[in-house]
Amino acid sequence: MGRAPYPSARGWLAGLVVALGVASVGSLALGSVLLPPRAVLAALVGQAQDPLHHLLVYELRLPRVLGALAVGAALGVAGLLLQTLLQNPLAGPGVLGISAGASLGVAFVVFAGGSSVAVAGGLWQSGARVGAAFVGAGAATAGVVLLAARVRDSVVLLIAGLMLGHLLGGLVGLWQYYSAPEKLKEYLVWSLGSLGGLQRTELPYLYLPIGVGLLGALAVASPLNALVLGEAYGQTLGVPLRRVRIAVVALTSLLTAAVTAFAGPIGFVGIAVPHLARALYPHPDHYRLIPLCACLGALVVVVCDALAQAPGYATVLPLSIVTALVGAPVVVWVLLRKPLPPPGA
Amino acid sequence: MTPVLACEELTVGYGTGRGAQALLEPFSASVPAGAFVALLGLNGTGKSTLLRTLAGLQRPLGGSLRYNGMPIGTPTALARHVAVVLPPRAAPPLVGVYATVALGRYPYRRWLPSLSEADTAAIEAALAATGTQPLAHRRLDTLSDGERQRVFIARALAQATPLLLLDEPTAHLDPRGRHQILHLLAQLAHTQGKAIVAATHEVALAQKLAHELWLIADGGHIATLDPAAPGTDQRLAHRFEVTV
Repeated sequence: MGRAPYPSARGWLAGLVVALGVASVGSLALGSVLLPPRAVLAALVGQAQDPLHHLLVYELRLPRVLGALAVGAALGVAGLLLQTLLQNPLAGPGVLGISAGASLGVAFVVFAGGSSVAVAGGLWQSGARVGAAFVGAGAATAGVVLLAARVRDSVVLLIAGLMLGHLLGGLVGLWQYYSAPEKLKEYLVWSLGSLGGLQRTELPYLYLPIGVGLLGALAVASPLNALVLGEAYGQTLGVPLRRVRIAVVALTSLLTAAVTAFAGPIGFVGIAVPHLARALYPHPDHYRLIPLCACLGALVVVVCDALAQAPGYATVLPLSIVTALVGAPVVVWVLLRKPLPPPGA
Repeated sequence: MTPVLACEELTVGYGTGRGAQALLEPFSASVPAGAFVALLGLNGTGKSTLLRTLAGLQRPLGGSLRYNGMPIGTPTALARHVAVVLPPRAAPPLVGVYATVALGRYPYRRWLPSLSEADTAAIEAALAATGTQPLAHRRLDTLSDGERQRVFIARALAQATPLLLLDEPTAHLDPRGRHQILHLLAQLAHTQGKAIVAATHEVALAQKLAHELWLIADGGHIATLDPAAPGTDQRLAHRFEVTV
């Protein structure tokens, strides 16, 4: 007689994992030199016939693709958690001011750090940028978590987070306004998002926080499922609302901070992926939606990153431009075909 | 026998500290197992606030509240003692009936994604007791108001609590639906020994079916009335009847 409350999502999940594999190999093949998929696979298993292939695939492109996977998974899951907690379909990792905090940190390094940083050289500068982004995002996170512990209402949390974002954005804007053009350009390039600068040695620092964030997301899946009928029903079921709120804010902040520090503020993915996932699996079960959002987010970012490489060897498009140009029409198309699933789902 | 719910000098209202504003006079009452209490009062007199306080959704301003003789414990302990049906509002789309009733098992399974046999048995029993088995495969947003209300009562039953609190379970229903819901509550009190407190505007039905009436008067005084006592008719008429 035993019946699960929600159907299995194994089929979709398996399909997405296969699609991820194909997209990843495709992305490894793309770039300044177009490689045949067989050469990519050979290089991946250490059987490259040409040392150049090994260099291209292993040293140059693999960090980018691995970065895209982690970044996409993190953004997709962060968006899902926030949309459920705030019961708002427009919520995304950007709404709590975390990316704005990271941006302020980077603006500090780019605009104020100036000459001394530039002298120290490129690698150090990228390290400083990552560090500053983490510090900025961390400070914003601390602010939002304190807020989440105080507010009685999730709508207040949403509005306060948006205001924090605007405040920090205003500070960045002020700094930009008084800055030299070449620094403005440097900041602008960062702010459009890119995985190109990701070093192999940096991957552990990207994967560790994102891994923690994704595991933590699974830990709050059960209370989030119990919120589907609204916060009041959740509370009468024994959901410790305040603690769940703080946990979700902390987890999404960690995920967003890691992404923004290494890849810049990437828009769109976090808002759109949960909607796509719910279009595939229209049930409010976070045990299934979290893996689906992780895979779907990873797929979206890997594909968009591959498209960003498409113009050819000299130019690589900023990631945020591709995600917005390609992604927005896709989401509208999906939503027009299906009714909008619940934001709390 | 220890009452399932007992409140002593309970003061309900909003705010904290000096800004606190009591809505009702301090109120003492107890509800034993198997008793069906109807909470009557005009709109805005504080029925929902009282129920929300009894449900642990908001803190009392004063007085004490005891469940089976114990004060409010952890959220989970409370969820295993009190199940609530909130005032009906628009159903979230795409949520299934079975999944909704299964939510009632959350206080027992918590971190486990799947249902145990005890869980499914409780869910089936709740569906059966409310006559919602034929709806189990439907979605909430495809149900009529009356059907949905019975599903929410099934969800509360699946929670397997001694106490059931319902805030206007008969709102938006046609006369037959209101009749069905209140009869269902009386039956659950009788057959399952549930202690039930339901706010409703169905004065006549409540007088017929409930074991006790809590009548909120002007000024926030709550009178506990015996529905069969001679003076009750008059007091209810005085409170609710409209002179045309």
